[in-house]
Amino acid sequence: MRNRLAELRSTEGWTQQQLADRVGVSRQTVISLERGRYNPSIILAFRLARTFEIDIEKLFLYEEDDDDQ
Amino acid sequence: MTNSAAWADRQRRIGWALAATGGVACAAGLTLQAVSAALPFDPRVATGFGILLLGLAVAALMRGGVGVRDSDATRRLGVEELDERNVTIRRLAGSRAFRVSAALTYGLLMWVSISANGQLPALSPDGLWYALAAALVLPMLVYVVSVVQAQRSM
Repeated sequence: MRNRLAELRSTEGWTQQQLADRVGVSRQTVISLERGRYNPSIILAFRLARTFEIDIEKLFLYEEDDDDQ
Repeated sequence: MTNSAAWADRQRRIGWALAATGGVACAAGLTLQAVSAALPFDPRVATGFGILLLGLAVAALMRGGVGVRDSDATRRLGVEELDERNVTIRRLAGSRAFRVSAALTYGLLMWVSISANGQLPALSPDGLWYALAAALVLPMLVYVVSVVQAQRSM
């Protein structure tokens, strides 16, 4: 699943640690999310979307191929 | 109360409970050692168990931030502990370790059962000790390797 986390974070001017602190996860989780190596739980996905004040569909981009993962 | 604060609070409660139990076990062991001479067991076992509990108590209290001035470090530790990716990795590693543990224990049980009928060589007490030690250590090894592997790939 692709996401716009890195793009939105740099727009806000936050570091990975600052974003991690805002959503209550480790910095390593933010790194993994940005690299697309880890798909978040629905709760974390909503928390991230609310942090950036956008809809979840605009933050996480679901593709049909994601079903194979 | 945030999740990480609740986690630190729980660590402190566990720490104090372990410290109290460890203290009682140590005191009981030392008292039995001093008072009674003819016991069917060595009272130092109780003292040793108490020391082990006190060690675990210190670890839990340190995780809970007792005596640590830097509350930010405690908060970060709580976040790391409850972090969903870390929890996922630990569950994955735990599941693999459990499968290995179950397979080893099943194999050992089958060996002992079949050897009782004389269809396999019986395990000596030393052999049984090594087999049980392997059944304990190998799953731990699988757990650690799985955690490291998942940390890199996930």
